Amino acid sequence: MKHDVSEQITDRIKREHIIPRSRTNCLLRRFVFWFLLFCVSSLGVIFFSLILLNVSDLGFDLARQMHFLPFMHTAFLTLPYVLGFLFLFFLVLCVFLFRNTRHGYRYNLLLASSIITFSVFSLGVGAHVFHLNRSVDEFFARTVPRWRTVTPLEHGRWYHPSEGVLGGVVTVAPSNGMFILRSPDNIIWTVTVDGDTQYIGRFDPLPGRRVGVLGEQVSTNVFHAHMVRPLLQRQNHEPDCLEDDFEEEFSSSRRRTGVCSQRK
Amino acid sequence: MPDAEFESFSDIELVEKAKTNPDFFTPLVRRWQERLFFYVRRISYFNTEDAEDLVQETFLKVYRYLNDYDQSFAFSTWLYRIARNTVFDAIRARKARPHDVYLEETEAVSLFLSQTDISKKIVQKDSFAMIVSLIQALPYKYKEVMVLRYLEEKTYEEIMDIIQKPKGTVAALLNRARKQIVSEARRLRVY
Repeated sequence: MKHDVSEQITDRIKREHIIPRSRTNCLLRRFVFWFLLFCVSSLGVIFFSLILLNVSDLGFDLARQMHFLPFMHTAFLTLPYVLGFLFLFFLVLCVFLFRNTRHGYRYNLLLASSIITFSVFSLGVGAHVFHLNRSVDEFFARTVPRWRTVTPLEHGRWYHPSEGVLGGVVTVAPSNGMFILRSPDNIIWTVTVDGDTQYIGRFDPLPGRRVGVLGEQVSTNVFHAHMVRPLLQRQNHEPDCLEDDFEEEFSSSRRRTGVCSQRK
Repeated sequence: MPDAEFESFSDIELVEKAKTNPDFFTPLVRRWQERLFFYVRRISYFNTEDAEDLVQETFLKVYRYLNDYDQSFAFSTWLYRIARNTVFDAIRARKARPHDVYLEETEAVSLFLSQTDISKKIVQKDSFAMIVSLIQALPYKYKEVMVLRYLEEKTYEEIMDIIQKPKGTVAALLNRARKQIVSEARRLRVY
């Protein structure tokens, strides 16, 4: 160097009153990135658990029965596995990067991606195992009016057994892996269930209850259920009830106290 | 305090004292300014005046971020990293010429000799121009690590921390640089 700049630098520091940035400020800037990363990961966890895994639970057969859009069908059923593969890939990469780097540049894009994938996958699966979807559904059911409203049986949309949709009134309660259902056109159906059958809303399909069943027609008058859900109940000699509080529908220990209004 | 009295202070001790008293920053600058200047000159195409400005800017940044200094790094490593980033920012800001390494003839020959096993006495003086062009023809990423390793005499760990790449990458870059130099030198019959 042509000349010594040390005095110049010190003079400029004093003249411009330059002071070292506070430690808190330095740490804050570093952790804002990690906070944003945390937010993105959390959103990913919710999406993965509530949407992808929930749809996957419906199963291949149901999706095919209901002629689910081919692309969406493939996407929803393969994405969890794709994410699982990415998780393993990034885990290996993570270990490799961690071993061969040190200090600040451990936190490069690849490592950040690895952490996101890892946390989304593992936390998403964990949330699903602990029934996050049910908790969210019950919360909305308690606070949002008519959250669980479904199309009434009379609308005719619950009777397409060849397309995997069957609705009716239970006549014989479930036993030995099946229950009997009477459809709106008075045909008796045998509905088989197994360990994978989902009962939406934790209700019991007792005799007299109106239910909607999603599954597949096995043979004439025999239907296998993938999902069973309650439909609006109709009292004899009473006008149609449009109740706001459907939580009572799903609790066998509570009496129905909803306010009915006359249908116009 | 005269410089001699600061010689007993380590870089970290001077850093700690400079956080509250800028006068302790002066000996720290004096200790590193010369080496930093040559490093800045080597990794950029800037002239002497511009390189001095960049050195000043680097030290001012260092002072601003003193509280962010991680003592698990050597101070020189942290200083070189800031200098490198400052140079890159300046080159991007100017957009005048592509980023390249600037080497004196003796430095290029020194790099060449570090990669081959021939003695300096054997290399003809009229080969120097060829050697300089051979070194200059290397990709920037090779030249950068070679400058740090053979001219700045940094260890692999320090190079890792300065350029923020894994150790394997640093080793691979140096190895590929060597292979390319030997290959070209044989083709040009310098080696």
